[in-house]
Amino acid sequence: MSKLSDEQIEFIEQQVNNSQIESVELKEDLIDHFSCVIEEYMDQGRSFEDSYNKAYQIICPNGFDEIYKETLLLLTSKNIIVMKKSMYILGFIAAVLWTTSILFKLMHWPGAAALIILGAFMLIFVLLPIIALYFYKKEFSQYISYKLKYVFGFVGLGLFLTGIVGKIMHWPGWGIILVLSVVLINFGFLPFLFYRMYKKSVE
Amino acid sequence: MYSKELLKGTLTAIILKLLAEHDRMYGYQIAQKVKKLSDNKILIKEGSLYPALHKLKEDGLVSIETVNIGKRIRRYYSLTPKGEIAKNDKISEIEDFLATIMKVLSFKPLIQFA
Repeated sequence: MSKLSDEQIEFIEQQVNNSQIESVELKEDLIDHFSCVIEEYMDQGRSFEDSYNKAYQIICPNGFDEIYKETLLLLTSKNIIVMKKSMYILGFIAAVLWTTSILFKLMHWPGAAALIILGAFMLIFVLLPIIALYFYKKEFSQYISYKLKYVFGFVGLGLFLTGIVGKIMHWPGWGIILVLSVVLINFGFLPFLFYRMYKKSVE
Repeated sequence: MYSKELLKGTLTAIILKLLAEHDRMYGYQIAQKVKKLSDNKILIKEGSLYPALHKLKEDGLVSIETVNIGKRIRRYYSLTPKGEIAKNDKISEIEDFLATIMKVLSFKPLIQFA
């Protein structure tokens, strides 16, 4: 029975550590599993390099990250369902608030302003953060450009909506908020979005 | 080898059953055991095995013991009392399912039109 040397195990460790897997437990599982499979191939007279390549082809032909994504998906499926439920319920409430507030505003009924503010509050401070968190969690990638895309995108959108509400309500400073939001979206969100889309299409 | 879809619903039951029969097992050992028991017909993919094991751990059905083997860390999985109950439930569910499938598939109409 072949036994891997410390250097060979370190090599496998390095490969697994270079992946996007964050879970230490999964890394340990995979390193041990790789080692076992490689030892089996080496027993058949193959070299370490050859055995590693063959093991990689068999264990994770689409990369280490696929196993990690599958694991995360299984572990977070319950949370994702809860998040989705709250997203849809809150989305429904916010939509009803918005249509009602527009009606009140157009009819010059009393309470329009309060409804607009309540609707905006729901959208900007409750619904938007939940949607942002959902996307953030769903994105397993460690690429900083992925994460920044969401941060800039949602902060920009939140500011943009605040600016619009400010305009409707004739609040002072709405202009600055709108300009700031467009700057964030144009220079923070869109470049990352298009960069990642380009990268993805090339991959 | 059977299709992934056919095996998907049975993987947890297979793992739990194997763990019930052994004190503790590690991932590679589980995959090899299933391969042997099924005459090479069930080859569990690592991409299914480890996500399933980690989910079982999360649900408290298995516990983990780590053993250092030189520079390697081996994670042994074993069944918890909660896992023992889940194993029985899973197995009876599959047995019932298989019996039903057999009944449906072996159904022959009384009158056959040629």
